Amino acid sequence: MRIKKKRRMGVHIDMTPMVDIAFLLLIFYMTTTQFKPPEKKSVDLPSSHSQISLPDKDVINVTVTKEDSIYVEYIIKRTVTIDGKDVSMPTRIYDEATVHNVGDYINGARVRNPRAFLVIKADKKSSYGTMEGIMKTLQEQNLSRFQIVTSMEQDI
Amino acid sequence: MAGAPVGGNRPARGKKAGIRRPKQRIAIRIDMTPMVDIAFLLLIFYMVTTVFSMPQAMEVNLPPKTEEDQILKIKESNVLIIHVDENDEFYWNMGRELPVLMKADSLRKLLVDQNKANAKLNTLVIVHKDARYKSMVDILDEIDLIERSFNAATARELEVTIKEFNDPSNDRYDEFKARRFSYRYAMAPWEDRDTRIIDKVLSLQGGE
Repeated sequence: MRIKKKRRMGVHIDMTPMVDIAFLLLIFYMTTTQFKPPEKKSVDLPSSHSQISLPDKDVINVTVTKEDSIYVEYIIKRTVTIDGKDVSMPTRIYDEATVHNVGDYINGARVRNPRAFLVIKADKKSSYGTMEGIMKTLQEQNLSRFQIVTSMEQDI
Repeated sequence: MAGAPVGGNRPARGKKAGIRRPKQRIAIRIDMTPMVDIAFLLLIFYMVTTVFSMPQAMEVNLPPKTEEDQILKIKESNVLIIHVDENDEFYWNMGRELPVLMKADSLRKLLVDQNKANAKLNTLVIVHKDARYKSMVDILDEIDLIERSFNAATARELEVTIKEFNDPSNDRYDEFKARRFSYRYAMAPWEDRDTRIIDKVLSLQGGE
C-alpha cells in the first residue's frame, strides 16, 4: 500500500472581520473616554447609593484632602489678546482656603459665573470638623444648596 | 509582496506603436500587520484608561440660618439621637435614654424600624469633630435611601411609577405630595455634654 504523503498547506486566516471589530471597539473607546481632569490633590471619595450624576461644567469645586486642607477650584473665561484679537481662554483657578474664608472664595467664583454649582469633594478620612466648619460658613453666606461627591456603592 | 508596482510590466512604447497589448493586472497586497498592531495597541490603551464609574453626587440643602422664632419644639419621645464619637463609633438613644453602642451597618435597620414605629420621628445627628467625614456621608446616605424606598413603596401602593410620583406636572401631584415621606432630621454640633454622656456609657460598659 502506498502511503499518501501529507501535503503541507499554508493556512491562511482571513483577519478582516477581526480587524473590523478591533477598529469598531477602538472607535468606541476613543469616543467614550473622558480623561479625568488633572487633580493636584487626590481624594479618596466616600461611597453612597445616590444616583444623581455630577454636573460636568459650571462647577465650583471645593476639595478637602485627608489632611484637612481646603482648596477652591473653578474655571473662568479669561480674555487674552493674541495678535490684536481678543480670545477668551478658559483658565483654571486654584486657591487654598481655610474653613473661615472658603465662603469668600466661593462667592468670588459665583460672581464670575452665577450659574455655577457648588460641589464639595472631600476625602472620606478627612475629619467631620472641617466639613462642619465649611457648612457653617456656607450657611452664614446663604449658600445653602450644594452637592457632595461620592463614589457608587454597589449593595442595595 | 508589499506594494508591488502597478503596471510594472507595461511594455515599453516604441516601434510597435499601434498594437495595443492588454494591460497586465497585478493584485496589490498591502501588509496590514503593522496597522493592526497599532490599532490593537490603541485599543488596549483606551480600554485600560477608560473610567466607567463616574462619581455620583449627593444633594445637600442646608437649612437657613436659625432665628429665634424658627425654633421648633419637639416631644422628647419623638427624638432619635445618633451620636458618632471620635473613634467613629455609633450610639443611638430615644429622648433622654442612655445611648447604646451599635454597629454602623445596623444603622439602616434601626432607622427603618424606628420610622415605622413612630411616624412623627425626628432624628438628631450629632457627630464629633474628630470623627471621619465618611460617617456623616453614611448617615446622610441611609436617610436618603430610606426616603427613596418609602416613597417607592407609596408609589407602588398608588399604582404609579416613581417617575410619575415625583413629577410636579402630574394632575395628582398634590395628592402625592401629601403622601410623600420626607425624613425629618437635623445635625447638631457636638458639645461637652455629649462627651460626658458617651464617657458615662463607656464607663458603664467597662464596669460590666
